[in-house]
Amino acid sequence: MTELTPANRRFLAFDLDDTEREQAGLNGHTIEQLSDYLDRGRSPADPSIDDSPDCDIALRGLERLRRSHKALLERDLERESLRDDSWVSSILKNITLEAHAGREIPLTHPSPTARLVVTEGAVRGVLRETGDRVQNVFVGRCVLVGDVSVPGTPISIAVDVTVFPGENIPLLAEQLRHAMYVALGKYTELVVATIDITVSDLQAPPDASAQNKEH
Amino acid sequence: MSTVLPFTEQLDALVRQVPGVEALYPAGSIVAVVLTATLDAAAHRAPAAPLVHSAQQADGVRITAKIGIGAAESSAEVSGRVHDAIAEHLRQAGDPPVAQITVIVASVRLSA
Repeated sequence: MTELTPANRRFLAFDLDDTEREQAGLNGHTIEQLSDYLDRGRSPADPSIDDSPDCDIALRGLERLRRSHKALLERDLERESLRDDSWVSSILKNITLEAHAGREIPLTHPSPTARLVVTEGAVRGVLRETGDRVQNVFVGRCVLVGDVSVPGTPISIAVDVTVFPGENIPLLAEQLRHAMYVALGKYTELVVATIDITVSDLQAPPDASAQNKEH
Repeated sequence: MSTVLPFTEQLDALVRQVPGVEALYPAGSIVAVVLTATLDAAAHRAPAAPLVHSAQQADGVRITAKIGIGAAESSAEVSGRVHDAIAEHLRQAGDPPVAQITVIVASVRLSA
């Protein structure tokens, strides 16, 4: 199912300004500190960042966001003064919130002493990166809905995306859904009943009236 | 009450060598991990504590490894391989009773 969601329903499940929660999910760091760390070329090395899978996931999300945003700016510099970049801050906050390990998702192994799991944070990272690889799409929120800790229990995936201009949204959603099913099948043993994709942002060119107001 | 076993540092190297493993993260408690990492950073030194957590408990040895994997293979394949490598290592190190070998896939790097 692909649907358009009213803007006031976006990211409703999260308290976006909760710094304590943000730091707890990033091994004591904020997203701003991770951004600064990238700016410094990850030097000097900080083991509290480098040794944290949560920070690793967030850093890679940050890097993709930066690349995507840079490409947009290069493509469309003259419109920059008109662009609403609130989507960037929304995505940043979701990268932060979703990087934490979260629940453990079991993987099977024949040995009775084996306990193999993939973290929810790793799976969200896979879904986010898979989505970001689809051209002209950027993943905002990504949620695993259902009891992921019980093998065989059907779950659903809810994904919010930003779509950039010139795309056929239903086709794009189908492409994205297929890519996510493939990734989930490879990196988890989850039984995924549905992947619900919500286009929550359309980065359309500003209209002429907006340009007139600007000038 | 648990006791850290002496062969843990060998396990770090062992797990790092398993094909498909791209990162090895500290598997101990978050408090210990943050404190150790902070002290190491302040002293500009490599992390001193073993990353694979190993403890002898009443029901046997408990090992926990937290890994990051690459894109090429599935989580189940790589984590299963890590489990098997640790189990084989324990057999060769005196074959102690094993309560549990936990392997946590904490990140998947789809691109380098």
